[in-house]
Amino acid sequence: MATAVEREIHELGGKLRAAANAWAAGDGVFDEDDVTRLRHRAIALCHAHYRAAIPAYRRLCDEASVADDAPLAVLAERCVVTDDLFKSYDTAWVGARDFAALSEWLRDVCSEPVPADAGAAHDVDDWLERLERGGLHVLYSSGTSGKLSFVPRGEASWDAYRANGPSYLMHQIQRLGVDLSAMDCAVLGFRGGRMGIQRAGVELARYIAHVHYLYDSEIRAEMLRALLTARSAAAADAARAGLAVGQDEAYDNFLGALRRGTKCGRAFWLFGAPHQVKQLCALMQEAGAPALREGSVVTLGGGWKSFEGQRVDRPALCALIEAALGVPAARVLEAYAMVELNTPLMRCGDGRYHVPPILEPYLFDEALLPLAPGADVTGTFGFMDPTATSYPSFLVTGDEVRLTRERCPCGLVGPALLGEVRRAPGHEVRGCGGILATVRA
Amino acid sequence: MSGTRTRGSVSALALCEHLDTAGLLRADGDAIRVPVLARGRLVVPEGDAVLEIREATIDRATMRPDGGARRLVLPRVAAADLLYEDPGTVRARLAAVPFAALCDWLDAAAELLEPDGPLGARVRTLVAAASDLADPLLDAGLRLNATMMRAFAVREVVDRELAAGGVPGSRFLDEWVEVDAPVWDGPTGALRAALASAPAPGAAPSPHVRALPTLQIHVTAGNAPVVAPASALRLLATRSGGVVKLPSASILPGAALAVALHAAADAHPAARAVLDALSLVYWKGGDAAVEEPLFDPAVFDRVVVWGAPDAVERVSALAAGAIRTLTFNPRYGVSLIGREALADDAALDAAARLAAADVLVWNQRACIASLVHYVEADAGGQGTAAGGDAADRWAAALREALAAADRLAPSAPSLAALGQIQRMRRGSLVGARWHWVGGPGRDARAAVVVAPGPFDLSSHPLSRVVIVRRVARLDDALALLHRGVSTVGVHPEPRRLALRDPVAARGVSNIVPLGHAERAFAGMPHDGMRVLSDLVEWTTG
Repeated sequence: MATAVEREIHELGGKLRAAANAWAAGDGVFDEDDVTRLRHRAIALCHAHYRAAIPAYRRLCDEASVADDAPLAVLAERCVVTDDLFKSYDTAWVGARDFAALSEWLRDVCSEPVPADAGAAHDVDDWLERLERGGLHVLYSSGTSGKLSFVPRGEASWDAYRANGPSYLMHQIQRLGVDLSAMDCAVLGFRGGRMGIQRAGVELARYIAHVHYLYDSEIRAEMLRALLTARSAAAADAARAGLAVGQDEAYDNFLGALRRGTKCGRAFWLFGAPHQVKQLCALMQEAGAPALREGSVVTLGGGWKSFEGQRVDRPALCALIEAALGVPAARVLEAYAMVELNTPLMRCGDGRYHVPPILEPYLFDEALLPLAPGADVTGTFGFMDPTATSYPSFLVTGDEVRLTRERCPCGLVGPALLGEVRRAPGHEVRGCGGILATVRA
Repeated sequence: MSGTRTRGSVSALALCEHLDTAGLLRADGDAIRVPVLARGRLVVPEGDAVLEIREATIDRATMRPDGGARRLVLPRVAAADLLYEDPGTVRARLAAVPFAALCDWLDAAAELLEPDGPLGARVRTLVAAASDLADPLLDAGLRLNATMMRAFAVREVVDRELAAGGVPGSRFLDEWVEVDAPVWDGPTGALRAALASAPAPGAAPSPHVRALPTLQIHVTAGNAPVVAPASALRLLATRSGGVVKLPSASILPGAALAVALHAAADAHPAARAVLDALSLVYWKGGDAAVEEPLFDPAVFDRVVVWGAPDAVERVSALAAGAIRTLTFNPRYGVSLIGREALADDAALDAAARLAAADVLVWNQRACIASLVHYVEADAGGQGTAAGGDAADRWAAALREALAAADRLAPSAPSLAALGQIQRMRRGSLVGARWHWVGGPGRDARAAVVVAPGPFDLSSHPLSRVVIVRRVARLDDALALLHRGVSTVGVHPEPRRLALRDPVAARGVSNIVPLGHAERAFAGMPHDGMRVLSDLVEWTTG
């Protein structure tokens, strides 16, 4: 049962979405001062709610002497958490099938009731399904560390997660002249599952009738875990056996679907991670496949992550996409998103990831102290997303960004990330006392 | 005594006057011009052919950055400045240097480096301005740099580490030593006798062994001010030649060594060949223009690399199996605390103070420093009545010991370490119990963290932060030991003796009494190696 504070937060969330819509429309209705007041009110309420309902957050506040009425600057300095919070459990519990312990951990980092029967789960997927049946939507991410992050959302936060993006993204899509009824969707991912990076494709598929998936099955957490923990090629192969088709066959089928749709005159909305789209382009060129129909769109999401070695810069990737798929750079969309974020940042045609007015962005220095706002500041990106009440959504990432508050040529106002997003430096192992990167003690 | 002329060599005072005249090794505005040694020649930074290293300056009262910065300006060196046209001739000249002459030269250089002398004091002032080491640790480090170069120390180390069959090591450096062992002629021995046209006039000459010098590259680490000088001393003690790459994080002690060796050499011409074959230089790690031509297997016989995984990997790849490579990989230390330590408050306090000493080693940046404490206690059992879990009792006592240490040798995490501590506190270790020294947040000076489960060591900030984990039996911690653990301190002593074999079987190099992680002795193996023995070419003749 939602508390009065939670209800107020989500009412404010609705108003923030409406404001974000106005912001994206650029029709002069958007009032930045007004939305800032709304957002700050929602953040203050979130803080009080987290403090009351999330034990781990409460401990942080107590230790840092942060009360319910702490000002925003204090929250930014002392109460932002990191994405490691969502994987602060002991992996041995998963190996030992101790889902009672895992559920107890979830209760520590989450404001929502955790269904009691989740503790009786027999594997991770069963645990996630039991949580879902109990009204707790848990998405996971493998990140770059190989350990799964679990991010829980109750119904209200889940609704916000699904509604925030569309509230402002539709204007960008409309400006592209996209006709969803004349399009098929092609997702370089799984048909379903709870992996965060897959969700954007799944959500996109809600708006388009015909959807083709690289893998026409759900991604299972246990399979992903087996892949991530495989210590040999043979073990990885064994884990992949859970897929109905191999990667080569999957791409062959995917290319076939693109070819058939194109032949029928259908444009495509293609969604995938940059390294996947790059691979698809190479395969399309190798096969001499025809370009996609005019009006097609490519959306990139998820970043390069462990495929950093394959990274090409944005102009090079766009050139490849145009050459292989026939989709011009203006129709290559890209989002900055993470499983802990309800509110993705879309990249505009001028190369900026715009921060929707739902979010309060912060940059942090190497000591994890907030940097003073400025017209053009570089630091580690963090945000407060007051539409998430299920978990502490005052978060600092591991990404180094340049945040500008100058008006964008595209017409959008407010803060935006300029240029490429990179992993923040400063975590190098130092000297003789440096330690083995994979050692746990 | 420092500052006076010794055995005809330059005095430290005169050397400092020379440095002043040349504008070297002194703060000049925000810049310090730093000389290096290239094949025995002192090279000073001039014109555009320089490299700059920026360092944040430290408020010595708080041991935190004071907002200032300075530049170290060094000459840019090329690989050609460090290579040898005729390596064989260089090795032959090195082999002809009497060990005693070498020791005399090193002793004279050590005299110049004495911390109480003008050069030592000058270097200390420069190093301290940007060092996060408290005065007691910094002073001990700089004193060690001088002491370990003393003739008696060098001879002791060489005589023990290169010793064989009761013959002190220095003899193997100086001469061919007859082997006092049964000799086997090999399978062809009988054939040789059968083929002989006449009976052999006498017994075949007996075999001899000699430790010949090599040409070495040392890529050192900057986690402590003693690493680069110690690595250089290994090169020198084997009477070898080569290149020592100074680390960006600790340039000045190496530069001071270069200046001292150079200044002392004129009065010790018998050792001149060693200076002429020696380079103490800096280049930016990964600079292919220097590294690719330098790592030439036709020139160099050994590579020694210390430090971070990326450096070890890069340098090992450069040596590419063609140059024998000794790696001092990233390792760490742990402490095993037996339940006897929690028997009463006095035992607890005594053990915690010993354990704190192992945490302080170069502010945890040394591979022997203890990062993790495994505390033996029953879950919710022993110690619960005293107001908390046993691991928390240990953590509280250790926190007090670290607070006392902070008063003796103050330290504060760097900004990056502070950020990493906050990341741990608000992320991976949010479920842990934190015992702060100095308070949470930006006030943190050290911390003891009782972790509920395994901890990913790659995120350890190495700044007097100790992870405490409870184990039901110390034997349970054995499964967590491996070759990445260099040193294990065990308490109390009977438990150490009982655990010594099983701990060693996990690949741990040092199993020491708690509080003695830094214990060392002449001839001591390092990371399981007799390093000097690996740096010479053992040759029979």
